[in-house]
Amino acid sequence: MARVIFRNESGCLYQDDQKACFILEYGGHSTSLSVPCFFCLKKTIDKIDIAAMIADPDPAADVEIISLHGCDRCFVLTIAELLNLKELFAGARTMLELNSILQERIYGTIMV
Amino acid sequence: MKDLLRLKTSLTEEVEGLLNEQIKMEARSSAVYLAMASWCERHGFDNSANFFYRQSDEERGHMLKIFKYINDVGGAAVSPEILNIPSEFDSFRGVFEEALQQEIAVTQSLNRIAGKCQKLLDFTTFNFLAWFLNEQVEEEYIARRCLELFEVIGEEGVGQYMIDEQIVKVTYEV
Repeated sequence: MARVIFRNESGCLYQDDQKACFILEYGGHSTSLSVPCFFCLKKTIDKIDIAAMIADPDPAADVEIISLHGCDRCFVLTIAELLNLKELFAGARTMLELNSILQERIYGTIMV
Repeated sequence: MKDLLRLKTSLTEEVEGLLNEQIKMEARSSAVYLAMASWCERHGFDNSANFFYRQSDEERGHMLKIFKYINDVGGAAVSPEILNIPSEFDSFRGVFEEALQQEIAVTQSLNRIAGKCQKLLDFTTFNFLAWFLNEQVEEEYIARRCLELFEVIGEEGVGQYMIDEQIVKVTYEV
């Protein structure tokens, strides 16, 4: 069963424990992301210079195309979509860190 | 809910980022030493050139050690992009001054990462960094001793030739 990690207005990220992967629901599509793929996508989005995209008058600069190894979806994202996705991944990352802290506390307590 | 984050890697994103920055720093050091070797060779300081070739190899070895560690603990090591490597230096002495400054900067950077690891209770990485911190004692010692030769011997007359002769004899013994 997939559990919600983080949700915002634009989409939702789930974790599938059985398949040990994440599921991204975004723009009406559902995409399975392996753990390395999840981090790779997050890093790729974080590295995009959105301010430079806004400042660039070339219409081609309004869209970013992201294609990753191990991901069957090619993302074609506008600036607004990039911002939404960035927020979605940042939120998910925080929740995953929180889960790690909780796990550490639970197992740490058992060990003591 | 399974902890997929820790199942993948024991490194935090912050430490992984810092280690990748250190990879970049070591790679840059290696490239700068190579530039120094070239400058020395062009100006007739053959022994110093060999010294810097060895230093360049050593820095690349350090870079690979960190690179391998990140991947070993499940992180993602990034092959660094190195730009703006100088090819000209002010003087023979200037080359060694810059070498020492570079080593000091590397030590400071490693200390900062070690401090962060302690703060985050990442003693695995802290322990891994201990080797580098010890290594920096040697690196800084050698760089300082080389620079001191300029004071002890002096650059006048055959001074530079004598300094170049002595550079290869500088070693660190614990």
